[in-house]
Amino acid sequence: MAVPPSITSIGYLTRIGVGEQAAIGTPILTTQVLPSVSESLNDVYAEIPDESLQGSPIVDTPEQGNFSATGDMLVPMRYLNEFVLLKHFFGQFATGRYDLLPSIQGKALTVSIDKQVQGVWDYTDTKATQIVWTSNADGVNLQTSMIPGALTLNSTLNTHAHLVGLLQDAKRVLHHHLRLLVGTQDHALTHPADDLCLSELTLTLSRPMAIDYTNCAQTPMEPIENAFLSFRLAMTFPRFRTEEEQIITWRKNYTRLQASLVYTHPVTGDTKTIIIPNLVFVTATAPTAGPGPRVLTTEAAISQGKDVTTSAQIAITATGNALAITGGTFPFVAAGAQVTISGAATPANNGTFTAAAWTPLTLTLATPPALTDEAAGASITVSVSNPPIYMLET
Amino acid sequence: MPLSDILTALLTPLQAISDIGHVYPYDRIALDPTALNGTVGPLSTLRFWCLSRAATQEVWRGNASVERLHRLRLRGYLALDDPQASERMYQDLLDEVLTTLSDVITVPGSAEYLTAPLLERQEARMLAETVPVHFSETFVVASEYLSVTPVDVPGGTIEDYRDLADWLTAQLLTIPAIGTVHPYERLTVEPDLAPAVFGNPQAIRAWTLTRESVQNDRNPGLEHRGQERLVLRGYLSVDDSQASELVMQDLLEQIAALLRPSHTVGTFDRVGPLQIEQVAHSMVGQTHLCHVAQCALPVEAWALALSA
Repeated sequence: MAVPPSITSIGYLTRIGVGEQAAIGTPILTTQVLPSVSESLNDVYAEIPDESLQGSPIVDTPEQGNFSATGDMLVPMRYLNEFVLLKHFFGQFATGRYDLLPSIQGKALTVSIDKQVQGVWDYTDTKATQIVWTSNADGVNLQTSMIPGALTLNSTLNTHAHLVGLLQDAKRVLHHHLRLLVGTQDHALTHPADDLCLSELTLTLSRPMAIDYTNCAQTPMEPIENAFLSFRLAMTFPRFRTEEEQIITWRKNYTRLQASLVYTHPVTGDTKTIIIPNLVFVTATAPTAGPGPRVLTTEAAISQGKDVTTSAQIAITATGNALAITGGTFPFVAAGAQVTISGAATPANNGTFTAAAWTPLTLTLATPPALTDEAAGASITVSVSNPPIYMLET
Repeated sequence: MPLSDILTALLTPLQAISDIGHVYPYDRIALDPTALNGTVGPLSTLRFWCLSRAATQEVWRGNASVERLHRLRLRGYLALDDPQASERMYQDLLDEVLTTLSDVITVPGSAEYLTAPLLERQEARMLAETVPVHFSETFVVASEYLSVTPVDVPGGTIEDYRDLADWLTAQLLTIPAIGTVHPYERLTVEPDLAPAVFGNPQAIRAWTLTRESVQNDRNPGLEHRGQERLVLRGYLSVDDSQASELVMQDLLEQIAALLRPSHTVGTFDRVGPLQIEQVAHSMVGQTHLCHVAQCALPVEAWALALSA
């Protein structure tokens, strides 16, 4: 009997491709290759022991039970546009903007890993349940926690040759490319007034999901969100200086803040920008840990910022599709936020709109729909619902 | 400049110690001790101290800040006079010196903190093989914390070592009076150094750049990481009467400041920060007494491996 050539699975030679499925249950040709630092998808089959007719201290061979394959993938971030992992987790992507949907029901990834032994492994119906964006001297990495729905060995859809053809490159996102802006919600963030220097950040976005099975099905049903989405931003500042003392006051007063994490490649000019319209510091500590300078460690909770303003001094202008307020200010509004107007004398000016731009005195809305000129006088209520987080890229 | 401010903050209290002798903010260097005779005191009663920067380690502490750790060296010299128990006298002086250095904890605006002094060496030696002296080396490390905004680096076509060396050379040549800068190591066995290489043999002022090592790593799945160690060496003729060591130190500070913001250059993802590993003096070509400096420039780049 001929001995087949031996193949050893080598990490160096591993290729990982990802693609967005059009539908649950339908694997897809992957479209993007991911340089991976590690992956730990672990396929497990539960055991169904026969406990009813044993009559013996030794069990019979259990039946093979439910399949599950949770695990993480650690990927160095690159200035790659339409980053598939992020598109899937956020749920919505259009013209360089990733928006967070409350649910990603009906959306899934095919993750193909060329492990060499048993060829390419296709994890289909894969959902991302958490992403952790870390930025420090080692670089910027994205760790994604995944729940695959099924596994196919020796995929005939995503082959080694296909993954080789996906080879693509883009420069790495590195920590020194970052400009961090943090400030109160009474002004638009500007450089350098709102700059902070930090040595490390960890942005954790969690989308908890339940894994359920139906009778007689070995693979799980599509995991669905089963708890609040939660978002945290941990930041370590290299020094506890007077420049950072404001953070202590913000934490003490539970001040609502906004933040922008802007990564710009110094040579190519590519950008990745994470916008956090509403966050509060929940911890800020600077313990003495040695004779040298203290380090400030903080954690901020990210949530959805909602505000309401009612005023009879709001004028609406069709030119620029904007509202202007006197004798007060509009609450902070991030671009893309949902704005609901009520109480306007002109019925067409009432309704739900999308914010395009904001200053404390002017609120510009996206068109359509178009606003109609209306002088101040009516008691107008402007309700704002900011997204908790979104991401831009150029 | 923070470094000179830090040195001054240490020098001033040292100079106030009674009977300490001369305290200089730079290394006094001469081939012949008679050149020091009268300058630093009669040879038979030499008593002087030299404070200078021996090295500077630079570390990025955040996305927009660096910490510079200056290793400062105080050398002490006292003419050996055993019948007069000069060693006891020297140890007494060292006590005062160590106490004085210990009292300097910060230099507002220049050094966040200074470490306690470390007396690394105390011994009897021959100064310039002629004058017996008590000699010591004491070190403190001063931390200088700087805010830095990385700048855009033009010239995205810098793709390999040769390009990078040429780019670095062009950058260095923008520093006034830096002298000659060579994008590669210049080697000669001629006792009289060729003027084309190092300039006027009586006024050497030259820099060479080379690459000493490359380490390549593969990350699992396609990614390739290259780490290179570039070495910049500087040579400057010693002219003690003109305090030439201060010129060398100032040039090093200018080089470090110039290269610091240029963090990504072409396809090189991380260039620097400059590590000033050694500032010393040496006989170049065994004939010319020079200040020599060795600086390392770490370079890092990531790319996708192209193997099938």
